[in-house]
Amino acid sequence: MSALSLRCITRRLAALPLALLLCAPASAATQVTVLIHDYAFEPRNLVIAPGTEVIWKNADAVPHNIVGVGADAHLRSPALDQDDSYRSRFPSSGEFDYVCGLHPHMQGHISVRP
Amino acid sequence: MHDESTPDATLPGPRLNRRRALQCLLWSGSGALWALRGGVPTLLGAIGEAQAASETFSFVQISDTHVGFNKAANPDTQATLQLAIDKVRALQPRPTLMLHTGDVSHLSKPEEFDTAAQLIGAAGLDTFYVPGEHDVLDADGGALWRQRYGRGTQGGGWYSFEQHGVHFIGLVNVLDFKPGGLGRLGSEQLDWLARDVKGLAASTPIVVFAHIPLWTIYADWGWGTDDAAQALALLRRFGSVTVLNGHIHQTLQKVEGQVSFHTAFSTAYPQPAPGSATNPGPLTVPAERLRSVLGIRDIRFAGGSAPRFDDLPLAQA
Ligand SMILES: [Cu+2]
Repeated sequence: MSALSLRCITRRLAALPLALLLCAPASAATQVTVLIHDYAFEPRNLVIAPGTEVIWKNADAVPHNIVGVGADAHLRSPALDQDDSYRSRFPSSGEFDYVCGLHPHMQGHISVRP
Repeated sequence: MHDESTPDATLPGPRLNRRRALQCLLWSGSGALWALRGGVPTLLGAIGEAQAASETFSFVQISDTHVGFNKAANPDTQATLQLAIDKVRALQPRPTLMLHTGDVSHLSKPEEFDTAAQLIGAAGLDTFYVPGEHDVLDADGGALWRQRYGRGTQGGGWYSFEQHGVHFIGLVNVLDFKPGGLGRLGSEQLDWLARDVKGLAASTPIVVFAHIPLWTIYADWGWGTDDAAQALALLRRFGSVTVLNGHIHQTLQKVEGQVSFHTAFSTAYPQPAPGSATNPGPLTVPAERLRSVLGIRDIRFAGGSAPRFDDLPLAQA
């Protein structure tokens, strides 16, 4: 195994408790944060309750943005420089795919379930 | 391509073998004899028809100036751009024009474009731009870019022009990315390209410039263009095609038949070698080394169809 993939796994393991927490339906929570770090959305897959506000926060030294894919094309943030954040509320149930418009290999998904 | 290395005793030189020699001396379709020098095709001579080669002239490529970036990898990108322009001004002979292969700005802000125009304008050269993905971050996805740089361009900002017998083509591959995809030219631009080159003689030297590399360098980092092959197919009949790109903030070269590909230095910050880090983000090098990994490129046509290249760092290592 290369040092590269080992590092990736280590990073993912470190992010796991947070991911588990955020993957549970957040019935009471009104806000959850997706961290943009190391050219990835953490967590990549997020499950939230209707009405939840998602906050993306960019920790990288390069800008990223949030662009909805397909039917979710209304989701579009400005470029987020380091430490910038962007909020969007998801009022009703559905499945939402998004990417970074600068780095389209960065992909994320939000499931909104009651 | 150069994978076979059985030595052939009849040919001199430790690295030369018969197959390599055959590859390195090729008759082009237009009856010109080419040789590979330093991996780049160079015209040796011509037979039959008079070749429609370039006149003698040179031009400069700068790239990835990222005006507005101020993080650890380079807290003063204006100062390094200024150094780059000083270097351009000192070139002898004086270049005819300058190409900027995108990421002029870091965040597509009007004041970043203003500063860039002011610094780059000091070179006193006609400058031809194509956008990088950092230049089309405005809410309208590039409206600001087209307003500033789009005069005389088509569609998303692509165009072509002639200079000293060379046909220059500026392409845009930073719009309408697909999820998980690479750079993209799109069918409208490919149709335009087909029309643009249709009437040109195959002996016309072609220079293509675009931000994201038109060859896949590292797909996991998006370092390639999904539909580049379709563009290159339209250029296959030409005897000399030079492809100039930016985006990856380091110099890499590849030769494929009559087509040579070259990525350029940034003037702002370096990025890691393909796959050598977890992500392609800015690489912070010791401050005293920074200027040796930034630079400009001087490109010279000297009567032949293919140019010579000098990648010039802002300072020696
Ligand atoms: Cu990104």
